[in-house]
Amino acid sequence: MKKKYIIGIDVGGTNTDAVMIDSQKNIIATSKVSTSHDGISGIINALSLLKNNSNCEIEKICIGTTLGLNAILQGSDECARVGLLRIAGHNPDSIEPCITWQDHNKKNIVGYYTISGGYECDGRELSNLHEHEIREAAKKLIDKGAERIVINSVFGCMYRDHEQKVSDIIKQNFNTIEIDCASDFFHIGYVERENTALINSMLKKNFSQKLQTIKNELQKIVTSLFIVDNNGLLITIEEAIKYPIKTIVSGPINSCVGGMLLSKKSNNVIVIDIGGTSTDIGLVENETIRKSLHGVSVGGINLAIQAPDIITCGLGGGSIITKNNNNYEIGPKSVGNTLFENAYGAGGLIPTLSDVAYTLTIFNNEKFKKNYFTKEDGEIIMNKVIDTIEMYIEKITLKIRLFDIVIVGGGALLLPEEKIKQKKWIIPDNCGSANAYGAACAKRGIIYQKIITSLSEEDTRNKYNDIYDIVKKKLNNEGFFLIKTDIISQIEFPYSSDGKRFVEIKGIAL
Amino acid sequence: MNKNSEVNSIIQSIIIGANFLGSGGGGSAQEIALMITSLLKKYQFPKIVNPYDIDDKALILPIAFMGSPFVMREKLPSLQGSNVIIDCIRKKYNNNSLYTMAAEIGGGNAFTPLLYAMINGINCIDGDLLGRAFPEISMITTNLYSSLDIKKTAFISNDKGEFYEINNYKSFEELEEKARDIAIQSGSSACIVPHVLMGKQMKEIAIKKTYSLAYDIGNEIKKSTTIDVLIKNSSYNYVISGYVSDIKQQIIGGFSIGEIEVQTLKGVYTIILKNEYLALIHNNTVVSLCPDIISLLDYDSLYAINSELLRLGGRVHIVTMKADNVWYSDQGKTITQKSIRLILENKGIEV
Repeated sequence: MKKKYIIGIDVGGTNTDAVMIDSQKNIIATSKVSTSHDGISGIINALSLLKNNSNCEIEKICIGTTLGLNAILQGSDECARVGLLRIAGHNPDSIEPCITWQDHNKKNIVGYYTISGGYECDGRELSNLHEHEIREAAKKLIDKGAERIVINSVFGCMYRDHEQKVSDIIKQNFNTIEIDCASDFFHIGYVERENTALINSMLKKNFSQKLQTIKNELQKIVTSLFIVDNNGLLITIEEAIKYPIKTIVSGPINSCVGGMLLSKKSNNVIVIDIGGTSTDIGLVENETIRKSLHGVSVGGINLAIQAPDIITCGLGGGSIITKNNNNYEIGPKSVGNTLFENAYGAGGLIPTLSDVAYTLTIFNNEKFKKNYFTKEDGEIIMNKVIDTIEMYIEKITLKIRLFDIVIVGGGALLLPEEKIKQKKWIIPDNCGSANAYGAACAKRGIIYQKIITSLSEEDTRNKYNDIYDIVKKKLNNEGFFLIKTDIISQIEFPYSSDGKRFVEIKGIAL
Repeated sequence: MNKNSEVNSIIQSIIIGANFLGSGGGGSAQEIALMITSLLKKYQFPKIVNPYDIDDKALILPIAFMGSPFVMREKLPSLQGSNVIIDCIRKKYNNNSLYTMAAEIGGGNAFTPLLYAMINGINCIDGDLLGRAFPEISMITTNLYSSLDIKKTAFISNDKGEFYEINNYKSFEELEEKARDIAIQSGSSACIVPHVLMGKQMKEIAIKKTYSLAYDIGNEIKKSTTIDVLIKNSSYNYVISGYVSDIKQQIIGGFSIGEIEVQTLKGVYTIILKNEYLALIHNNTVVSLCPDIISLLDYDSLYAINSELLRLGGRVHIVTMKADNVWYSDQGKTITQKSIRLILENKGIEV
């Protein structure tokens, strides 16, 4: 019988990394190629490099990607043009849509209208829906060039009927337009829910198409194809295509969980991911990355997504070293991915952290040929780097002694081995592939969100049990039998007479 | 600096300062500040004027949003609707020399009078009736000046443009009860003026220059890189730093009640919460008690953290500050310490 393997792929803005692991999570092969514009040929390249080494059967492929995030940050031209309908009979004029957005994202929003309807917190209608008003507003948005329409109702997170009706009316009258309901994102907070639905709608053009291409191509190789979501769980590629926004913060989660697993130490680690420009520091407790207090804010846009608690600092392999009154400063500016052209050692003009590591003979590369620093200065700077990292570790927790400290990312190899050993920090083998490894090791999970009403404790218990059953059945159908269920959150709605509450339940296949 | 970014910087400072004065409560100012940013496209930011420059015969409207912060996050206010409150009061008193003023400077309601001043093209008084945030509507300076002939008529409006008057209420408890009924009827969000003031009365009972105070605090926090820099200013009393080791919080009778424990090098400090942080306890003795303002500052940013945003393990500095002198009179203490004394007595802690 052929051995079965899992492949993890990290599609970043610059590089695509892949790892192949066996069922014991041992790394069999790794590869690194440039990310391709079409999203798929880079992946195919990375895969063919991996599979050169072995004749094997692939059980599943897990992909983590920051392409969705990058599309928002860079204001990609390839986003869908979106119109917005606010179902808000009380005419909220105090905050207009997209108020904190930057122009490069705002340009994708063709316009908005406020129409009658929506709810009070206790479920009374703010006002009735008017069909002609809905038709008119939708027509105006389509005339302005909208390819999709987002509808957002006041208290839509609790009462979904108006959004459903408006969606139906628009679909009956205009058969080419695509509709996205903000109530698909359970979240109390009109502005964040609206932002989330709008960004999701924007991403459903180009980014979702890329995912679709990936799906079409890779399903020729493998039947199980997953994407890592914002909780670090594997979701089906179909779900990612429908809700691309569910993937945008998976990057740091993958590298933190990957770092933890690579270190083979404990379930409680602080992971320091040193890249070319910046360093991300995150904390993993019981295999789960710590979430931040605040929601995700991308390019000034607050979203209804919980963010991992990551500290980012401007320290990386390409960090520029400057001298100020006999003091060396490291970063935050970086030569980025032009290291091999601009770094002093590689024939450029700029002294970087990689030059320091070259001087101290930690880092060796054929393109590096000359020293900028003296050994003494090199050591002074390297000590400062270590101090900086320590300072950030202290920032992320007071209880440092409960955690192992793991360093991953390409920049990890620039640090002096002896010092790292003294500090009992760990740089695992394959530290450059932590992200892809994290994706490969991610578990299939389902997050089930529902609003339930219940008037007694027993009723509540029964309704929770129903949800557990649904989650288990869904995973059973995919062939998983060992399943752990957990309540992620439960929010009781104030002012509801029928004990309405929002519950979020996670099922993970072990 | 262009004009808008200057205004934004002022708003940012007032947010930070108002959250500090909120003493852990008052609701976050961030949401209402978003409304100001939105309105700045259409309207001018109002002048915040010196209370002593106001004519004795001017009409002052202390104004606030009431209702659940949860509702406000979802049902964004319709200012054109609730603005009926300004028009109706103007008409009723037939007075065109109109100013808004904060009812409560601590937290989000610091911005409510600025919103209404903006859309009506009037100015806002640099002052309020609390000087911080308090859990109960009776903890208002008006309650200290019963000899003044302040007409006890309150006004309420909602998003639909409906307007209500509550005439001749006998106590603030009665007002609270009646106003809450109307607010619930209005979808748990409404706009309230607990009573109007003449310029002369305002000069007597308002706590003055509290916007300036919030601005200064916010500015200092923005400029300070570490807690040491911040507390060089003698108006703050730095207690200790540590991390949040326990949070017990429950909603009882509409109030958020509980205790927060902060683990420090000198052991545990306990903060008693009733919407606001009302007492700071160490080794069973009171370190600080309301009307003192007790604030938990984020370890790095030094921004004050609202009680609903605290989380376990979060690192904080405990800082206290004296509230306005008016609250330290015997009557002031009686009004503001009533509920906290009861809580402390039940715990067997001597005040």
